[in-house]
Amino acid sequence: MADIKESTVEVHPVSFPTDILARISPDLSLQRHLSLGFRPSSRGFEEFRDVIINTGDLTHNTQSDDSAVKTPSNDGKQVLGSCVLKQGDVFVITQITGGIIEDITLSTNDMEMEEDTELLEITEEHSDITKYSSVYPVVEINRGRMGACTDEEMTTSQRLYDSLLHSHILTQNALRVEPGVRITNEDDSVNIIYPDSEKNKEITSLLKPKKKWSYVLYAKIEVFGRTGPVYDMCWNSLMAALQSVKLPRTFIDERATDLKMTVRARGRNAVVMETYNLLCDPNESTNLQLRENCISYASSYGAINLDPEADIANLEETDDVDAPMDEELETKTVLLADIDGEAEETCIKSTISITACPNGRFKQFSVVGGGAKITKELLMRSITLSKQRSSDISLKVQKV
Amino acid sequence: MNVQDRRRILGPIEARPLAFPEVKSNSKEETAVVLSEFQAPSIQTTLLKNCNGSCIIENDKTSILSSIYGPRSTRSNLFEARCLINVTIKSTIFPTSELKELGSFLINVLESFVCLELYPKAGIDVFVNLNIEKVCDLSWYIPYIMMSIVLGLVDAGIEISDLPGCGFNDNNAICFTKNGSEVIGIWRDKGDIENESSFGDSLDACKEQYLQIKGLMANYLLSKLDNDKTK
Repeated sequence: MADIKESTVEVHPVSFPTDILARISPDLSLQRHLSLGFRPSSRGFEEFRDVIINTGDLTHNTQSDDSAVKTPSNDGKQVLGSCVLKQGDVFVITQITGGIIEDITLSTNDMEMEEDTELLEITEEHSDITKYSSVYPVVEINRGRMGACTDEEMTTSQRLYDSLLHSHILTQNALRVEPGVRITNEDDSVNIIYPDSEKNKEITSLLKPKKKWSYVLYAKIEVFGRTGPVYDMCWNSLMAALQSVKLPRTFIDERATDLKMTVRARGRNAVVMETYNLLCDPNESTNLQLRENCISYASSYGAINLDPEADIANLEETDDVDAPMDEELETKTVLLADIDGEAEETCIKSTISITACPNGRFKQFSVVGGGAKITKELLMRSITLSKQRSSDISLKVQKV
Repeated sequence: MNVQDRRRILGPIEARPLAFPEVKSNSKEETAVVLSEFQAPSIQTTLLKNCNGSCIIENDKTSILSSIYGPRSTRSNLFEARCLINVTIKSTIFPTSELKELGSFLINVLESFVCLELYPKAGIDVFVNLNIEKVCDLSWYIPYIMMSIVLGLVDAGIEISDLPGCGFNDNNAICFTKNGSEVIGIWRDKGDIENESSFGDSLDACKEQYLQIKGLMANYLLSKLDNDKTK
């Protein structure tokens, strides 16, 4: 500055409106805000955005009954569960659809019967995770562009898939299909028998097909009006949507249960088993069984070093350039909850992401160093906050 | 691994979608009568922060969200004296081909009332998301879609020459402008047109609905203006 003053060129200070400064120099804008004690969004440091959660709206089976097993019809709708989550200005719409897959892989119980113990040992370490299942998420972030999915969409989808699998929320058993049998009576009336009662069990076990099926769940997660990182919103929305999932009961026609066809091909006779067509009952559905104590909600945090030079109070006091600055005393790291907005997203490189159950168990914990000094206190504080946040969201989901 | 799309986690290829047995439709005529009635939807604009304009139209059967991006520079190197409009419609219920066709139909409709000359070398991208229950053919939704796009354009501050709208009657979705004196688009999903007079009746019914929609839109915009003023 001193050099410029000596030359003839006069420099006039240029001032910008806040929103323009935030775009030109997000770093400075953020630091100035923080020095005043709040964030660009005028939230406090540890203040989360408000969350509004609505589940089951898009599934149209809202006339839910409290008796868990038999819920009213879902009218043949393909969407099994849904959630609309609004956090700040961001909307996340999650729709869960389903499919059915024939189980070809042997479950661990089936494997025990086989003598190949070596194989068992190898699979043992993996078997823990094979008991659990995940949904196949496709995240779409609407930002007015067409074409292939972006890196962010891909990584978010992958992270959701992995986190769900490893958080042990969804078991393979919960997705197992127990097909009923559709029986045509003598008087041409049709009824479907499910293996619920003992009596029905006998009938269905007689007619039961030998194959096994599982449900496959897909999640389509659409993000509207993205203003910041979206992972925790997607996760929370997925959690809420999963809790609203109603799996339709399936049945198989009695005639198809042991249908075999002899096919003559190139002079040889071969028996082809009919591929079963499982049909879904539009009138009967069951709630998806989740492991309640594993249901968790995500929250994210950022850590940023406060820049002493951007401190406005400091600036006014120490107009004198030569004033001594005690660097070590001045640098202070603060924890910001629920990162949002362009400035915070671009400037905060150190992030903490925690997925916690309301009861205090943790499902995921990740810290990205990124330059800021993450201290023990910061980590502990973020853990406390994540627990509070998680129980807060779980209350909101339960209310729905 | 899925060979078709490695970018997305689409799940095992062998999985089949859930199949429901065909439900016997309970008296089609009855549903048709219910549908022809226009239900005044709830309207909300300026919903999304990362686009220029947005509007959501909702009633108990539909939720149509339009987001308008633009006018923004296009990537093409050619000089275009007029603005290019692009409409993309997303829905899980209707087949993509049908949605694309509707998209190009809507582009034609939009070109007749958006002041394209004011935005040279620019593009306006319209994205419409349908979160709907399938109650009827695509044509039934067109009045709502039109309404959502028009209000989205107003929200984005894009100049349009009129508040156009669309009416639905007897499988016809007819778009009007200039208080019903001009037809700017006709969409028909199925069925033959019996004769001129039946089409004329249908046109009149659509026009009536258009006027009703126009009233709704004008009311909404005026009340919004008042709200903004008081703020």
